[in-house]
Amino acid sequence: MSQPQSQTLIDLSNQLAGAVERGAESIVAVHARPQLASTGVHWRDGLVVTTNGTVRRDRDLTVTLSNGKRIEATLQGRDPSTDVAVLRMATGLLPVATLGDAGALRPGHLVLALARLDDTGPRAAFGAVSVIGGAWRPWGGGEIDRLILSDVNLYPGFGGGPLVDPSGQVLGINSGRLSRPYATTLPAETVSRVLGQLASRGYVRRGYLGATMQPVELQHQLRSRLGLDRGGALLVVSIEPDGPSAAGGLLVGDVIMAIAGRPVAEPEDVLKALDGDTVGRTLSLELVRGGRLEQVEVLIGERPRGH
Amino acid sequence: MDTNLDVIAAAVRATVVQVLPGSSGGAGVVLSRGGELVVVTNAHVAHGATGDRLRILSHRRTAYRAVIEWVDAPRDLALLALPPAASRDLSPATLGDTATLRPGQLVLAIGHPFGLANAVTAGIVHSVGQVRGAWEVSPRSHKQSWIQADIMLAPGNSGGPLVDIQGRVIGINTMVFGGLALAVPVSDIRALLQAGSEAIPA
Repeated sequence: MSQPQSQTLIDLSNQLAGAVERGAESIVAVHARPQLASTGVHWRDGLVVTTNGTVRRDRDLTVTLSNGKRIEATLQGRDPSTDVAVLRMATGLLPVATLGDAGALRPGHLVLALARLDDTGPRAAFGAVSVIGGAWRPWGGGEIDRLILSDVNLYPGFGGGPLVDPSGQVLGINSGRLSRPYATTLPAETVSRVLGQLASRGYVRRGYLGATMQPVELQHQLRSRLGLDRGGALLVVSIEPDGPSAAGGLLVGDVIMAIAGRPVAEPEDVLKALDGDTVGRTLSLELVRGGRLEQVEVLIGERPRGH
Repeated sequence: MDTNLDVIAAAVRATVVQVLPGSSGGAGVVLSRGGELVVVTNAHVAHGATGDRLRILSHRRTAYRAVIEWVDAPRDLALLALPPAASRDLSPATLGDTATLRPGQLVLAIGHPFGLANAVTAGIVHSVGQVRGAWEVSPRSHKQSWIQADIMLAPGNSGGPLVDIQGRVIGINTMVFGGLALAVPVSDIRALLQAGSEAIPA
């Protein structure tokens, strides 16, 4: 009996297999933890990106290339806040990943997750984009430019591997840990930005005020006396000695109403003011001190590493 | 010619049987051995039989008595002979090629997961080769190759076909390991059909 055929489906199947082959040209197996390898993407010549959580040690790192050869690599840097780690290997060995346009993704688009675990060739998983959203912040506190969730099954070792579109272009790297059961993908623009900082400095410099704050509600009488139209603010509860806030003259008990002209009511609002490469800039803090409105200037410092 | 996926799946369904009883039952693929219809399934599905006879159901739910010809435990494959009457109801499957498989290509599985007859699932080839650790839970040795697929399988899919997007059998779905579907490659089935006399008699 002759089997019915669909040229459209045959073409789609071939296209998906082609996307795996193209995407796999620039992926390596990363050996940086006991047992199972994880996957890395050759993002810039000599620089491999993977998820920070899969790089359990700082030394004795190796990567397996697409030709099956296993070579040495070194840790260039890590950014736990976005779960990105970058390894350095010899240049000129592999093509670098072709980046796609994660901004054009819509729920329903077909995607593939790729992995390389050893010298037996690439592995693939398939699914659809489930959710697309705006910028968000994972537990680590970093800035992720875009939310990309898919129903792709991230099998063991797929962490750090690329999410590719049906043409094999890389949309980002998959992080298995962030939002099960969905697969979370760190978008390519976030990876490129973090990689740029890790490549030049070895770590991601993050702005730091050296003060802890908690949300408070100003009393109605105080608000009306000062002519304030809202009650939400941040109370300074501790200040690190010799930190940026101490140097700027911030005091415990100050109630911060606005930073750089933007109202603040949640700690998240402060993190937003520190997003990006803000170290060395001056922030103007509008606050209530002793029942009066005052302004304090704080020179943004650099967050101590490991915080 | 162009057609929809359901038409392709329906044509494959006519080549798939349900194998009873067994703990959860299983599936089997109808093949032609020189014009005579036989069923290939997993050894672990055929082991559910008492004696050398098994009851099978066609896709139209017609029951037949099949006789176990061979059980090749190291490959986890078995071959069943069908009565001549079965040819009124069943068609032989077309065999594909394991050597040309590429990760990413579309595949379908047909079986009876949890007894749900003739269920179709879709996915892709994940990789082809040895699977570390699989030999601990399978009679197949660590040196034998598997087709790994990113596709949903459940008990009752065992012995059923994994087919390519043209409906050609590329493997016999055998187990789920590490969340992935593992299928015995069609090359092993060809070997069973050709050198069946060297296999272990049931």
